[in-house]
Amino acid sequence: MRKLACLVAAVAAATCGEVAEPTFPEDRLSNGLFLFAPLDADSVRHWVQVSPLDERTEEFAATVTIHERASSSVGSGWRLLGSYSAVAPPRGTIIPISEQKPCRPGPDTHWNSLCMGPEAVLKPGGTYMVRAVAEGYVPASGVATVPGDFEVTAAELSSRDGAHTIEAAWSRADDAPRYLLGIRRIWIDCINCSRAWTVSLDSTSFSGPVPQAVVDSMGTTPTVEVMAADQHFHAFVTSGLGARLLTVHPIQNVEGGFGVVGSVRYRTRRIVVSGGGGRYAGQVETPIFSLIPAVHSRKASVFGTHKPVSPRFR
Amino acid sequence: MAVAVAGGASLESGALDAQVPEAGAWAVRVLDRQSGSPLEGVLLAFPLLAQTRVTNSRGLAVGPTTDERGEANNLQVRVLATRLGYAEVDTLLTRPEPSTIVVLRMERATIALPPLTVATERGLTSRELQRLIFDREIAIGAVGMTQAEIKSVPAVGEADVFRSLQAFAGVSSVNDYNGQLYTRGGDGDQVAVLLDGAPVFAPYHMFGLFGVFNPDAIESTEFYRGSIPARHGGALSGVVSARHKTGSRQGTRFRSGVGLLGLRAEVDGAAPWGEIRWMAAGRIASVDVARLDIPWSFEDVNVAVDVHPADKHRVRFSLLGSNDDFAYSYYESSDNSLSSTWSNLVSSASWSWVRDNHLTSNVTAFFSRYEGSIRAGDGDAGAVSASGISAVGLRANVVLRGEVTGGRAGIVVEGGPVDLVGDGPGAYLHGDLSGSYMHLSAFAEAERWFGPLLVAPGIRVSTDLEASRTFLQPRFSLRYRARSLAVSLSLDRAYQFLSHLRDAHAYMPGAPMWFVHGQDRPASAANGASVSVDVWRGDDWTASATGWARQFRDKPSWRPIRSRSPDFVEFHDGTARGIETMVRKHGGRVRGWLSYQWARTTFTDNDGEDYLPAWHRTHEIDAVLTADVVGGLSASARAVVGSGTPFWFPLGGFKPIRYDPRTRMRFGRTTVDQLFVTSGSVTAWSDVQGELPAYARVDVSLRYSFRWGSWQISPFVSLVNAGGRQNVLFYFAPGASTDQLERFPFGGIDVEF
Repeated sequence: MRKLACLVAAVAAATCGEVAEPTFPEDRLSNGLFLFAPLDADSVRHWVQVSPLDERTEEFAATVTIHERASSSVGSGWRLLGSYSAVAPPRGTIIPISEQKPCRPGPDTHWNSLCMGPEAVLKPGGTYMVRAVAEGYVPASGVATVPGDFEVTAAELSSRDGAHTIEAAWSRADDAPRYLLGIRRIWIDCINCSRAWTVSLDSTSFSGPVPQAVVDSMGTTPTVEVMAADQHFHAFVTSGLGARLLTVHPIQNVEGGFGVVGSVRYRTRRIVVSGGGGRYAGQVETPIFSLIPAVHSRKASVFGTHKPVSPRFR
Repeated sequence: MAVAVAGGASLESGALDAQVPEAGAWAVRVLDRQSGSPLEGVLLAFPLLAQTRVTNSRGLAVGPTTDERGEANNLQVRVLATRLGYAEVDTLLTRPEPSTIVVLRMERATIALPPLTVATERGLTSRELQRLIFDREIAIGAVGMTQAEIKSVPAVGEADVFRSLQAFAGVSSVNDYNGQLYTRGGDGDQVAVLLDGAPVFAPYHMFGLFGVFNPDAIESTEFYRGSIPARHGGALSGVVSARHKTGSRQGTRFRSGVGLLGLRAEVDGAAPWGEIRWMAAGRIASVDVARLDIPWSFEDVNVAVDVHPADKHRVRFSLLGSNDDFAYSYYESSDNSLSSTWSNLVSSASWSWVRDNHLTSNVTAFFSRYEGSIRAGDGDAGAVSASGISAVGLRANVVLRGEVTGGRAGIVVEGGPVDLVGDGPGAYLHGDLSGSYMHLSAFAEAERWFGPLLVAPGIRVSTDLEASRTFLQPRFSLRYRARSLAVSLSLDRAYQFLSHLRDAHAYMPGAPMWFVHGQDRPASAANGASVSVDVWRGDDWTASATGWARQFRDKPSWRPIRSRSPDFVEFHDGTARGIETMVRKHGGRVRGWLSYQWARTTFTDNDGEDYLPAWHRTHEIDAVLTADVVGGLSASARAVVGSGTPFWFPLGGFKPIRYDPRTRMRFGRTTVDQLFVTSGSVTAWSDVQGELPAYARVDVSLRYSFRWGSWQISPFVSLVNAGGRQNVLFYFAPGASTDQLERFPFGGIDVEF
């Protein structure tokens, strides 16, 4: 009986005890970089985000370079077009909104990521490499092909009996195997509360229904946006699931690290609203921000962020 | 004393000696007809009384005095005596007078390999079932569990076949949420699960927290660990073969239970006409357990019918249907959600024919359909990965019995489409791994006694008709039996054609994603050898020690990083070796078992780097204890202490970026266009492995059973992870982890009448 009691006590001690955390062999773990480089085919400046995968507290410095694949007459290899170096403040530093860079994820300084703007003139159909280097990290790089020019030729929203249909058409962009069509919405206060309406297409036109919630969030200047991107960028922004336990990595093309190097070209067009009977026609809900420029910028690609909240069940 | 004589046995009467414990009882002594020596381990079944006995080392067993319903007035008692190597005796006795011994003599006969039958298994105790399987199965590692044992092991929410089997030596689990059986170095998908001969492709509820088998509907379960008889194929590391139970002619019985996790009911009986016995059971649950943070629902239904159309014929129909559904949302936004559904429809029809004591045969036709899906991200619009199997098959075998030899031979044909498709970017799988299989197998098993030595060679030949390839799978076993000791040796080779597609870096709960190793992919193979020593002492104590070594070839491994493409599926080789010991007490007020295993499993990837698979656990101690405290109160506990499983060190994380065109006000009155938003972080894994902290957990349960009229009522309470230990599920960043099950109590009540 005493032996049994000892056994029970030993098991109880083992099952109640504190867990001993394993030691992370930092000297054996290759520090990686996250590189997000959507080369803007319409711009000389390209906003590139570089983040360390680990959450370091010290300063993080990195350099980004853009290279062009040399033509055969010049020889093989890559030709440097531009570079950009920056230093990020330690994680947790509060950055005034006025100092935030376009590709910083808003006021959320969860990571000490760098938003850098190297400059390079890109040619449609050209192949470019973006490379990020930071001391103590494995260099990360990726290659993109710049899509050709295109235009949105039609965008019309018809409403009938409370149902809405969008029809849009655009010209073909070379080296863009697929397109993302979206209806621009106004960010009021809760971007998490609804999902953007976007469609992935390999054709140059679309005709289909649009939910009422999307129509309600269009603002007073309803606009469609079509993004033509190379295959890597398109795949990256349409894949992946981030939620720790349920991690599904997005499709990436960065060697030595994580993320994507792609090239993107996007176009907008004001939506022509037709038909009656729908909630939208003639009864536009006024958004909080009504200062929408008549002609949208084609140059900036700015980030927002989802704010984590408590788990929710459905 | 009136006697009846049948089957070469003779009955005598004599004074009851001191071996019979109770005054007023009568006993049966079984002797070898030729030598007159007492026969130990003879199974005595009293079908009319629904009771069984097993003779002790002196060939003695106490006879039943009343049946379970107290019907003591039958003048005649039917007894079936069976023992391997002896002809079965089926005879009627006039109820003996108290304090007398009925002597029954059995003649040596063929060495049979009979299937377990409902009649002989009903009401078997733990020791009786183990003895039956040990006598029948020479393959090392074959174990059985009775329904009572399954229910006595504390479980999470429901008494569970798989969780109970996990407590045996040689079997591991990777975490609290995964009920798969990782057996002797093999992956969880290397254990085939059969129900009445039909494969069950998703035998788990709630992403594996417990099994799909309703314990009330299952009569018994056999589990082959590592060494598998030639009659089973398509699995490298084990076979779980469960049988539905059916009712008895003694009336309709009803069982029900309600607990924190759902409602279950079972009813069985016999039709008033002919020899028809039946059973129907079902479970339903729709729960959102806060500690688990994942709402899910499931239901299952079981139906079994046994028909005896003629004296030597039996027909069985079996059906299992199950469905699971859960949805999880990590963020308020719907683009970080995961939902999964899966369902089984498993049916079989079998016909058994017993020509005589020398020849029996069985034919089983089966159909098993599995459909499962994982939808990740974007809520209802998220990309879906779906897997499905529709397998049909026919299994036929003949059992031949000779004087000192026996054998079994048969054929199996099984096949059907196996679909695995991810519908686009963002899916768990981005691509198509669909295929189909059609396998034709023939097998033969033989046994021959050379004195105390039993030699049992076997072979299985499988032809993959779709890929035009043939696989030879030899199996060989040897056993030397002394009085209370047996030494066994097994050598075996097995092939497997169906596997799960699973991200080796991270655990993803949800439906299993099956794919077939088609023509362009190799079949997985395992070669194994094991040696075991079994000893027993009396009817209560058994012990075993086993050493084993295995070699794996072409085990699928998928570590997608930059793409979810099936092109990244690799096939790795590996080795595993281990030692396992087990001591078990089958009867008495305190019973249970204690097991320890040491194992080492390594695989080598295509770059030549060695790694430990996710299911590797170097040390593991399992203890199951059940005690009848007082009256109808019983207590049980299960403890597991083991070294940690391997994991890949995380490098950190990054946030996926999604296309979300919108306009936002910033910098005062300036409005800007924004194209992208970020969502929750994903973990980036290194190629360096570590070991999770040691795992330990104790579950305890208290059950009180009492009768209320004709009702048997059993309320119970359980406490999972009673010690509250924070076992680590995985690390998503240096020093940042997600834990496994916390301490939580639950309770319920079982009713039977």
